[in-house]
Amino acid sequence: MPDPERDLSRSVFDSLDVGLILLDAKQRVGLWNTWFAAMSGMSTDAAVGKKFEDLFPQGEFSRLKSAIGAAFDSGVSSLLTHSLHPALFPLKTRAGRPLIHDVRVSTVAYGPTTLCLIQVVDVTVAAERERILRERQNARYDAVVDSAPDVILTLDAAGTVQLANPAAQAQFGYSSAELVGRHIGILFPDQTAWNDTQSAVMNGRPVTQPLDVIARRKDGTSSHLEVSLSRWRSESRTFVTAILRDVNERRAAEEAQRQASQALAELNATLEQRVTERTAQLMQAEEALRQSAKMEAVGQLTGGIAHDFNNLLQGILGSLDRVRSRIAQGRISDVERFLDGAVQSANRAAALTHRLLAFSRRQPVDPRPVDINILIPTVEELLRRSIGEAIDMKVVAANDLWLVRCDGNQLENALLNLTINARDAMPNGGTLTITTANMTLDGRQAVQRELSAGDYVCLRVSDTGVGMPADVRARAFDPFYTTKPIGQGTGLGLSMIYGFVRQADGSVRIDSEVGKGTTIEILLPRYQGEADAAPAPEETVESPGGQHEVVLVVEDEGVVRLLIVELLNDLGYHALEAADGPSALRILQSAQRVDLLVTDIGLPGLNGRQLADAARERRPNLKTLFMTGYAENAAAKSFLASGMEIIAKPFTMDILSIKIREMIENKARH
Amino acid sequence: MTSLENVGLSELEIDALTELVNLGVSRAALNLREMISQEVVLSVPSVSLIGRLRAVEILGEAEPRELVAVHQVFEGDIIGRALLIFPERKSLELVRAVTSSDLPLEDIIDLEQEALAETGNIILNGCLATIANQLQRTLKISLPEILRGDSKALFSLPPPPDKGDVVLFVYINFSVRTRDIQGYIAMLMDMPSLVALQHLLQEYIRRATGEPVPNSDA
Amino acid sequence: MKILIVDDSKLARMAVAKALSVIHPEWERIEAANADEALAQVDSANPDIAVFDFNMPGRDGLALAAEVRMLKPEMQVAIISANHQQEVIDRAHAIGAVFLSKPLTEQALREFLSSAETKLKASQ
Repeated sequence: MPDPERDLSRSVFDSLDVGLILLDAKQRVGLWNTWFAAMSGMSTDAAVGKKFEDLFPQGEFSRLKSAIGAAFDSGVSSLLTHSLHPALFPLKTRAGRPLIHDVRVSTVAYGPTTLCLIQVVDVTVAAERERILRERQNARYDAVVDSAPDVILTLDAAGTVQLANPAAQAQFGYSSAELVGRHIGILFPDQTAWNDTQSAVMNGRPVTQPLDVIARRKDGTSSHLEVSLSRWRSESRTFVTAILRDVNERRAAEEAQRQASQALAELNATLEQRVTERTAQLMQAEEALRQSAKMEAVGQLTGGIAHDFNNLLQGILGSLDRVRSRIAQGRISDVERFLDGAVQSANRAAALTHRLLAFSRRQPVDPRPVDINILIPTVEELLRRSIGEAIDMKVVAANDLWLVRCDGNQLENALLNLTINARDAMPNGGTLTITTANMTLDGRQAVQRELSAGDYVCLRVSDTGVGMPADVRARAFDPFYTTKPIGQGTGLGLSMIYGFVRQADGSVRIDSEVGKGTTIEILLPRYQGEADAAPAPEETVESPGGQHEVVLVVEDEGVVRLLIVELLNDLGYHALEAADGPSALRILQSAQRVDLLVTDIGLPGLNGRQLADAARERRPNLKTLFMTGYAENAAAKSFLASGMEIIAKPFTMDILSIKIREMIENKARH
Repeated sequence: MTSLENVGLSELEIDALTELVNLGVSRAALNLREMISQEVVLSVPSVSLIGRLRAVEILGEAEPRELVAVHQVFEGDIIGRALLIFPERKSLELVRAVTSSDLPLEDIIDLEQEALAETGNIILNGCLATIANQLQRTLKISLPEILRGDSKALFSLPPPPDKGDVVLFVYINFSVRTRDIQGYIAMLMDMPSLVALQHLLQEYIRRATGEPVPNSDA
Repeated sequence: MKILIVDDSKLARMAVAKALSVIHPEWERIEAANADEALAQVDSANPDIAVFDFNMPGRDGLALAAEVRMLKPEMQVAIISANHQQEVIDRAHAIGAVFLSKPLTEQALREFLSSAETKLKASQ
């Protein structure tokens, strides 16, 4: 008697467009369906009772057997994909071409026993379609990319190189294998300009002009390139393609031209002997004006500085008071701490006075090679105190900034004046940004600024203040022109800056929009020589005797940061602080000495781990202590390199101080 | 390593769970090695049992950017989901590690979904199957699915999770052919499953040590 | 006979102890949970045989075993691991240690202990 249900199941089994194989517990074939028989060329009767490796001796079945075993042992289902197993079974399509397939392994109950069910799914069409599309694209693409004289690189969203054409090796000396998987920073030591442009491109903002960059070849030499970037997407991923064109010859030609112009200019100088006397007179008058402008700036400062002095004096008096009372109580052992505190405050006050005196002293103009990135930190404290609390100050310093040749004091004056102007333009608070960057001007750009083409260092001071309307802008550099109320400025600042900059063969210009803010851009020619032999001082506070190690604390919660800084001061270290990753990174990329980095991991934006990795590009083995809010992250420790440690909050100040001491004195276990 | 929250497993039970995870991960490393014929180093720096919301926070702090995960469901005496999680920027690295590394970029991207699914399947099966075997239970384990999102999305898959959901949270380090990839395994269970797991662990401890285990405070 | 068991998991140590108590209940057992404790015990108790877990945080069992072999070359050493990839087994043999798979069976431990005993007697 035919069993309709059984016949139906069997009928379905053999009509499916999917291969079905049933195996027993010894991995021998029990049954397979018509589809599989047709595609493998082997009938199910021929296969019964045999194992795959016997039926298909050319096959590689270790993974499949392992998956089948696991299905019987533990009930797991496994997936074997064509991506990792390109031809598991030797199957052919009806047209005789290789049948690309995925395999799924699971179990099925059969009465009291369990059988293994294998499903073989044809993915040829999809795979084939992808392959054809890709081949078509690749053929055209490869022809272009491989033979292009320009370097073509593809980067992912994180800046990791995914592809590098043969021209890259010719240009940089790195083979494709050496570049793929590395970060683009290996080629570009100055990453700021690159990062900005790449972010712009990633966010869909078009980059209308090719960008000039300088790459570092494998052998260490520099190469000037013009780069254009474009964005494309694949699935949910965004990639950037960069095409880099060698412009070294063009630059060499421009440099030759600049040198020729310079030679001509020097020739002209002899013709100006007549004017030298007149110039000397003018310079004397200028000197007097400069000095009074400086005094004006000093006057502006004293308000803020008096406030600071009060605090320092408070610190000293308070400490001495405690000392007196301790002695009266006979608790001599405690006084050390307070005396140290008093000495520290006194030293800070001394440093401040020293700086103020240096600033107001009459000094002759003395042009020297100057690294602006090193100069800025030395006046930063003064600048910050003069802008007060309501204004946020950011410094964005380019890596590997070129040297310029000018009088360091005049440049400091200029910065101070611009800072005070910016402050006055932001009565309700705002942001002051100081930026440095290398710039190369081509002929057209140079003419706009009344300069000759070539390399310049750009210093910009920007504020988000009231801005200047066109008529004010036009007269801003005029001596004695001022928009400030009487008694609040002689109007000499900008004209002094103008004079100093022109004298140094640079340019200064104002970009401003009413209600939005103002940017003053100073360009000074690049100085090709060596820096001065005497290095800039690395400690910003002079300590009485003995080295006070410098610790940089990065933590966005103000109270926690304050507590840690206090603790560090108590321990006798010099603490620097930053409230976020980018400002910490700026400190770490300058010449500022830092002996230990203490940072929260969970910072907004650039997190602590990323900060440490970035800092270690310039300071390999920088000792780093991470703080995490989660004990689990502290226990994991798997991302820690040598010289790194991690502690979990909440921690007591005792634990923190022990940890910090250990790390600085290098006793920590790695 | 131990983060017990209100979960109530004793130290010895957590120890046993850690041993099982280690066994499972070793098994997975073996299977992977078999497939790619290169040494696979899979190590487990730490294992903890924590609440679901805390897992979201911890993973969020460690990996602020987008994540990619292989997801499988397990059913039996214990019910839950298993996730193998990597930061998205590492997923192409992983594919390069398990395939022949001189494939062109487009091929790697095309193969990524499948290669990840299969690799994740091998690792999760290795863990789940070993744990099930040692606890002498069978689990029905589904085929893998690829998910993308941040830590909150991965730990909030429907049906709506119970506030009391528990996560077995494992840090893993995956190292093949000089590539080093840090990832995570998370197994999400509800409280009844956790209680069942606890009983199974107690039996396992008894078998392994030959001593009866005192009742822990659940 | 003294045998040292080194594993950061208390459960794993208990499992080895249980197997040992069936095979040689009269032997003295010493336990250590990490590299430092293990070295201290090697120094003070001078065990004849030692069993090290491969996968321990800090210094791994293999490095520890290598160090112990240098300090006390006559000691019979085994590495236990669930990770029995050929490369790991080779590394264990390279430092003169026997490799045992986790989970440890009584049979496997029995075989190791008997061959260890034989070697110890031969070298005395």
